Amino acid sequence: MTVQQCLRQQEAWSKARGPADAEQIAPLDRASFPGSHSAGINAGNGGKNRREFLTYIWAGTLAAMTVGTGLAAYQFLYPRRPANEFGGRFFLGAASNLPPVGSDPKANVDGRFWLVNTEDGPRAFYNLCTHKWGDMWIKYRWDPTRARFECPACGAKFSLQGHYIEGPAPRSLDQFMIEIVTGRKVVAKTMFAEDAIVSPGVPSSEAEIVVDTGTIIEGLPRTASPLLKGYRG
Amino acid sequence: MGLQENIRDKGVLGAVAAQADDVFTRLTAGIDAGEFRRMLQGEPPGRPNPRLKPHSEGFLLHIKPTYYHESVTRFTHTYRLGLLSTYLFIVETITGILLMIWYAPSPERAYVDMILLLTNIPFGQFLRDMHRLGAEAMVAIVTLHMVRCYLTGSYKPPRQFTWFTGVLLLVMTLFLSFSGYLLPWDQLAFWAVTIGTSMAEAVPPAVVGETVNLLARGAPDIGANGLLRFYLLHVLFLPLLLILFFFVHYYKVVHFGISLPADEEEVGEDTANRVPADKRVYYLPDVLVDETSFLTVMTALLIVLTVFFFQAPLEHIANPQSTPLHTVAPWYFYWLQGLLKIADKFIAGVLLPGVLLVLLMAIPYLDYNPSRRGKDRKVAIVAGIVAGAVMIIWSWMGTPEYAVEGAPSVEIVQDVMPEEGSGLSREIGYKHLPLGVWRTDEEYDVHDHEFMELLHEFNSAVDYYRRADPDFNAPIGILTITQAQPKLKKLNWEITWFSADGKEGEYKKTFWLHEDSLYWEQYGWKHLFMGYVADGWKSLSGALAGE
Repeated sequence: MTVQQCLRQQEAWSKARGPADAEQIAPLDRASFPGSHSAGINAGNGGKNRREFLTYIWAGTLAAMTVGTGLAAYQFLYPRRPANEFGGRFFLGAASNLPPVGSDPKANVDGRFWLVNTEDGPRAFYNLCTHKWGDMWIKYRWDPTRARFECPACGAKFSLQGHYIEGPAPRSLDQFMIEIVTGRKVVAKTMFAEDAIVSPGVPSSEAEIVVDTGTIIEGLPRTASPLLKGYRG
Repeated sequence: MGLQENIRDKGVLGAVAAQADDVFTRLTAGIDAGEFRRMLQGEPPGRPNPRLKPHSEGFLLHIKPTYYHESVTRFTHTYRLGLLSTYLFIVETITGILLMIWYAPSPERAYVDMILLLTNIPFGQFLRDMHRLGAEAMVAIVTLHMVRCYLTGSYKPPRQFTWFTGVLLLVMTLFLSFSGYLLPWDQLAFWAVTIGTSMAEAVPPAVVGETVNLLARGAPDIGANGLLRFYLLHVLFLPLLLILFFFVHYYKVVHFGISLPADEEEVGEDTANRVPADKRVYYLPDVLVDETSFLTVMTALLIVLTVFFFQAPLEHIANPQSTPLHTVAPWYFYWLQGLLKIADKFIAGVLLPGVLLVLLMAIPYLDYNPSRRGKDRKVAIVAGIVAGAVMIIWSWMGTPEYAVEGAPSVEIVQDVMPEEGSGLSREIGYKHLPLGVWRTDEEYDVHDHEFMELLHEFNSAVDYYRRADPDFNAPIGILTITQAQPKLKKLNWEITWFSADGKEGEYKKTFWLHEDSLYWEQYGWKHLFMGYVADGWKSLSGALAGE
């Protein structure tokens, strides 16, 4: 409410109270504070209200300033996500630099992800086994002879597409958001649907590939994995 | 009374209200809710005055006087300058601590951190600007506070020592402001501090001067050690020292009271403890509300000035190999730089400032005039005005206006495109600098108002020096703008002239300007500020809507 509105409302109140009361506006009547003790909170009933009212305006201004400052401080303090550091965006350059489709995945140590290029397009798998071993996160490896990811600690196996195959892991591999950028514009990115994590699609060769390690897309539960059935027989 | 009896007597609601009132009374150290509202409504206190309790029982108010003499609460008597100085110190502390979050005091990181702060941190530039503006305002307000006390003769007995500690606080404020100068690690910082610390070198005998300098810089020249030392001075040592002396100063202010207007108080009279009952203005609530509302307005003013009218400069990264043209000290040390231009380093840099400082501190002990009335203090007031005028003249001598004039060709280019700072060329910016060759001896009609203004400025600068300097005849200025790279324009300034004996002279200076350069005059950082405000508002309303 603006000051003008407040003043207008106050005027309206004093009119509503009739001429006898117009000069002396009781700020709060006794009924609203039943049983307040001794001289009581309403002791100032006879006083003129404007002075008190103006003080509240000041206090309100001050409170608004404090809230605004707090909000700005929150934004100021919030951690940045520097480029090419874990938590931020990784600029991998033109799509022609991607590993060829069907080849082994490429590890990105700083970004903690495996970069895979499939027929549907690129994917970046967060290099932590989705099975938490005690309180520790274990990094899984690529096994080139069997062409799948294997966790050296729990034995969970995942396909090149990140699908759960077997082992104690509760879900398929987590992925990072991949953005395909042409001319400063994001033209496609990894999407999350009910039943699948959809790769951004095959990029044109001059498009740039950006992996956002700040946005983690959780893998689907292992029961939803298309490879699960075959192994259960 | 226990809670159960309370509920029996007053009912649940009444007991809750009583309990709430009790908590309120504890938090305010003695003011219950009813008394609080009577205070706000302007009702007089009862007897004995219950509003004195927070002063005797609470920590925060124990240093504040319970009442003031009516005459000192008039705005035009003190202008609240002391309060404002204290408040600015608090603003500096808060903004300073926030800035420390994104800053590391090492030469490898400091400047990069500044760039990051200005470009990538919400409200980073705002906080830096506010910290800088607050620091400069603090120097100005503390000085004005001193001028006010001088003109009203407030340093006279019994308040001599209050003045003395006040001068110490002024010196600390100057050092505090100056020590912060080095931290951005840009050319401005590096060279201002190099000049400042080299003044200490003039302290005789030579071994003392050199030692002082070594201790301040941590090395023969300013480097990583110097930056760390100035940082620690700025964020720890000087603030702590200032806080200590602030309390000494303020204790004296409370003890002897703020001086009354000269007509109402004789020198030596104790007016702090003998205020007639009808002249008392109690701190609670009148002075508190007055001070709070004054500071709220001042905060709003500071924010508006910071957002719309002020930007802290950031020059190129510190380069110990190259002193930029027109290097100046901070404005409050212009007078010292002016003195250094006309006198020996020891006399101007050490002796004279030292003597001035001692004189300033000793004023109350030297001035034996027993009156504070203006008409009895003609000598003191005239002396004060003369001293102020001399300071202004010395300060003017400190600016590049005085005795740092280079060759005309150098000054012309410095005028339109200075080595540091923006200048008109960078202010109008990349998009208003059309490619081509632009000569001062030809007329152009370009449909670009900003660029025409630049050509005009270039023309008139060349013309000014042609008339002012007999060794600068038939000058021609040529500006060649080419596209050096995509998004990068090359500005080649060339000036040719004939000296008095007919020899041809030539001067060339080249600058590059990128499309995304950080000159706010060009791209409107205010927009950035409003963007952060909009982001904050969006996240707040999102949180309130339960997203």
